[in-house]
Amino acid sequence: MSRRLPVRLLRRSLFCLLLAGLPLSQSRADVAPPTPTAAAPAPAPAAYPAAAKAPAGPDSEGFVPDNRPANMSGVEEGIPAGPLVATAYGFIWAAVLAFVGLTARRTRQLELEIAQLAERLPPVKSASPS
Amino acid sequence: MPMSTQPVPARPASLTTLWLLLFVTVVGMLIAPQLILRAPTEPTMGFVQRIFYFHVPCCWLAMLGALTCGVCSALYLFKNSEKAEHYAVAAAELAVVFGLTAIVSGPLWARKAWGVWWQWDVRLTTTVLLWIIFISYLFARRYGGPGGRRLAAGLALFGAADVPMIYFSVSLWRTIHPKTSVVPTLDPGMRPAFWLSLTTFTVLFVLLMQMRIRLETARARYSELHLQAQDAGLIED
Repeated sequence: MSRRLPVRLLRRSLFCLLLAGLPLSQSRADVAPPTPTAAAPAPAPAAYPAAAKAPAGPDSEGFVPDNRPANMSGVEEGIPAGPLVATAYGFIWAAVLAFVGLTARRTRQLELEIAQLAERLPPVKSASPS
Repeated sequence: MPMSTQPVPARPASLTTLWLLLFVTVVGMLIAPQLILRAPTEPTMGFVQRIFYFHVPCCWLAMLGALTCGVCSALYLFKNSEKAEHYAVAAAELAVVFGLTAIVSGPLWARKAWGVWWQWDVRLTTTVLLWIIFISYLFARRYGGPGGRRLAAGLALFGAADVPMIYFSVSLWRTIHPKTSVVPTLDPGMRPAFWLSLTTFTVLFVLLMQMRIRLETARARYSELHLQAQDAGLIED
């Protein structure tokens, strides 16, 4: 009985791995290249200016070569760097100033309360040395 | 004359010292952007790399705050030092503030440099962990009841232990984050801007610590007066 338990665990773990692999294989099938019977090849996207001509049709195995340039220097990035840098610096300044403001305000309030409390207290009489 | 049994609070810096620190910080913050704009542009990442001049000091101060809090919390736990406890809470709040600025400025840079806002990289993950630990410190200290301060001090020890893990993570594991060798091998044109920014931020840290310790000292004084007022019957429980 004790020998059969690891075998059962091994079988169950293999079965679970098989089940886990199924969605992955299905997702690969979902993004499979178009079959040769597709109506027309997709036009090149506007963001890649070097890909002027239409891509070649699929080969016998259905593979469509990607003719985007290897050098992506001509590709226009979506987010400009300036606003990112400004946002980073602005956030740091805002956080520091918020901390300074909150601390100064709490200190001021507390010092007022200390002054009010000290006024209400009777003066402390110093003990005479024995 | 009976000996005082009251805990000794931290002595806050004089106003002259605070004004001097403020002056140095303001001068540094005025000069640093000039140097940052004049620094050479990094060829791979471009203009966005200039976040580096503020991002690295923020990370450095978050770790410094965490270490300071850890050391002072250890003194509070094992030596019962109230002064150390005041330093600890000040350092913890600054660790949270600068940790937040590091966690926000990093992804803004990463979006351009790595193409993603966030990666569950070792350094990034341990930095977020540090930030969460010190938020927990502040919550435990405030809402933890009578033993809250000691509980928070215990948390701070874990936070301080996270700091070497953050620093050495890029050397020990395979990470996407730049390694610590970037700073020693920095382009000579970038060094003045970087070191001035780091120095200015460190002076700012000292200034903010002193401001926060003043607040904590005032709280201790208020508690003392409140107790005296209760003993004198001026205030009800």
